[in-house]
Amino acid sequence: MSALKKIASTKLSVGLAHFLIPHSKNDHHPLILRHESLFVVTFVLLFIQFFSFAGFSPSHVLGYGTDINKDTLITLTNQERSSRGIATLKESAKLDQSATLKGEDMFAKDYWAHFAPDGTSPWYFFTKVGYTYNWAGENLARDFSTSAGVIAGWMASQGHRDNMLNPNFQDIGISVQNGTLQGDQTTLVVEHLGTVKGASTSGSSPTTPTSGTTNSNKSKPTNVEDKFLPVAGTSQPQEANSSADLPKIEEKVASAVTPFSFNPVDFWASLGLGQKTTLLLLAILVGVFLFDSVVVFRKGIARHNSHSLLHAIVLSILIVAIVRSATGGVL
Amino acid sequence: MKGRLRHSFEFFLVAFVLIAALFFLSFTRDYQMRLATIALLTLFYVVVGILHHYEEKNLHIKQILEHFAIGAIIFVVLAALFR
Repeated sequence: MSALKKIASTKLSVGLAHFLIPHSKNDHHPLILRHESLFVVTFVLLFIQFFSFAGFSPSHVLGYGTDINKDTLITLTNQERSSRGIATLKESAKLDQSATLKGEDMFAKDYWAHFAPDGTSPWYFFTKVGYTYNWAGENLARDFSTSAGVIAGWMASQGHRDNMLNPNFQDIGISVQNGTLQGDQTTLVVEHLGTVKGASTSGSSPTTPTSGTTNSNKSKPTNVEDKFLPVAGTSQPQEANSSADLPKIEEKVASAVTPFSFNPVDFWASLGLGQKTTLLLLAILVGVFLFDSVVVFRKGIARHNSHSLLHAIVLSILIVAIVRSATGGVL
Repeated sequence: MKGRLRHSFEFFLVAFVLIAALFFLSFTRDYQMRLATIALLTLFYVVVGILHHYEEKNLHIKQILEHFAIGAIIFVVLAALFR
């Protein structure tokens, strides 16, 4: 049995060498780098695209279209909270509705911000759907491919992370919408967090703010306070003023001011199957092209094929472009 | 030595054009323009490869097909990325 294994492994290693390493038995040209194999790779990539476009997959592979859904986002948010001993959030139909209204407003007015160009605040949508709150928060994301990617993006940004892990929030509502925003087809994610008026919060009371995060002044009902966003110039819609009798209101919108941090493990986990397959194929080609160019250069092998190093450089640039595009934005 | 310098220049030229094209693609909203840019970029890569081997007097059908194959990969990936 062990002998058989040895033979199999030997055959396997010979086959792999024939496929990947330039040597005399493959005419110093690995099979994977031959134009026939490269065309096969092209067809595989085309198949992945067709598979996604034809609607067999929930996600489009590299560009527009995603595998993001509300339930997974809520589950992942609650996993982040429960792993830190923070109470999980309950889905609120009203917050789902307010998040949907916010997303629709962003597409209709074509803006990527917490506050609309006409001054409409995030809290307008909370009150419009009848969600009277003591605590309210909003996280936004766009251009991500998967739910895990959205959560990873928010968790990597301090303001969004604070919102997601705020023990004072009890309810969550999420909207995932596809559309064209500022000229780009995108998937927009709006997360609304809140605690209804009168509910007792499990967390600590709002900390004393350095610049007035908490508002208990009844004459100024909604203090749109955020240590990340400038409050100057923001207007309070009429609807928000209806909550003038709220005892304590905390409203937080998060903005991505933290430096961009790239965690390869989180990034890989956040990718869809098509993206992973594409990146893997390109990475294998780059690796073999680089190895091939080193071997050919060192041994001075003359053969009828192109410069592997040039192909490796070009495919590497494509990998960087895919990685860059797969990293969405949060606000 | 001269050959290596020429190789390096061509490598830098191709990399520069590709990166410049990616910047252009990321700022262009018109899909038709994006597709045309990607097609031109692919054509550029194939033509540069063929010309390179023609000048080195070692042009072979295998090299032409190889450049077409890599060009096809470039086109498919970028067309998917910037659709």
